[in-house]
Amino acid sequence: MNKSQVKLEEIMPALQGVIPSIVATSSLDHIPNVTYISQIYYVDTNHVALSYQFFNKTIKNVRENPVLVAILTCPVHYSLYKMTLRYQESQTSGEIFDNMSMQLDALAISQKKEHIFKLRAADIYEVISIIHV
Amino acid sequence: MVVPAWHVEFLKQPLSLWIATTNMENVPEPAKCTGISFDPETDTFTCFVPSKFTVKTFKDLKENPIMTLVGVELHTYEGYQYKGQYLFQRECTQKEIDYQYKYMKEFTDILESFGYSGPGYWKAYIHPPFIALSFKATQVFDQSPKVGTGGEIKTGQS
Repeated sequence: MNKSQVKLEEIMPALQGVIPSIVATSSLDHIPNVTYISQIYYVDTNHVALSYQFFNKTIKNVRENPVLVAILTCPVHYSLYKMTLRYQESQTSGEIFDNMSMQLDALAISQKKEHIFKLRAADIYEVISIIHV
Repeated sequence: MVVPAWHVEFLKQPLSLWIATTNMENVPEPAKCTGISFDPETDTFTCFVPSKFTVKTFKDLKENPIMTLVGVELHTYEGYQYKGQYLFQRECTQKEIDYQYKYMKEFTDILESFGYSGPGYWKAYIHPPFIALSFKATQVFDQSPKVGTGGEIKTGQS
C-alpha cells in the first residue's frame, strides 16, 4: 500500500455495522450493480468478510468478476472510505461465520427483522486498497 | 414505459440514493447521490451527485455508458434498482441545488430519528458543486431485502 492509502485497522469503527455499507459490483458484460450490505467484518490485516444473506446480483457478480468496491462510513467522524476488495472464498461454518451470524442476530433483534438478517455464508475478500474519500 | 407508474410516488420520498458505474475492466464505482428527478414520460432519471465523487464515474461513463441507481426507503428497506443508458451530464441549476439541500434535510432528519448524526451526514455527503447525470432506465429490479430479491420488475406488476 502507498502512503495515500489507509490501513484496515485505522477504520475499525466503520466495520462495526453501525452504519450500513454500500457495495458496487460489475457483471462480466460491464453492467454495474449497487446495494447495501449489513456487515463488513474484520478478519485480519488484509482480509474482511461480507455477509451473504440472499442469492442476489451482488453474489452472482462476484462469483464471475471478483472485484467489489465498498463505501464505508465511520460512525464517529462520518468520514467515508472506499475499499476495493477481491473475492476469495465463501465459508458456511467456522469462527468467522459464527461470529458474523451472532452479530447479525443482534442486529435482527434490535431492528425486528429476523427474516432479513439470516446469514447464509461469510464471503471472504482480500483488501486491495482503502482510500479516504 | 419501463418504470411502473406506482414508483413515481415512491421516488418522491427522501430515499437513500446511490449510483454506480463500471469500466471495461469491470471495476465498479459507487457514488453518493444527493437527490434525483424522474420523468415518467421518458423513463429518464437525473441524478444529482457532488462532483467530488464523480472523477472515476465520468471516466467509466466515457468507456461504458451504463448507469445504475438504487433507492431505498429507510424505515422499511423497500428498495429498487434502476439500470439504463447514460445520456449526458451538466452542472446543476440553482433550483436543483436548492432541492438537494431540502432533500438532504429530510433525509438526515430521518437518520437523526434513528440516532445518527445529521451534521455528520452533511459533512460526509454535501460537497458542492453538484453535477446532474441523466440516464434512461431500461430495467427495474426489486431490491427489498427478502428471499428471492433481485427479480426484474416488468411494467404492470404491483
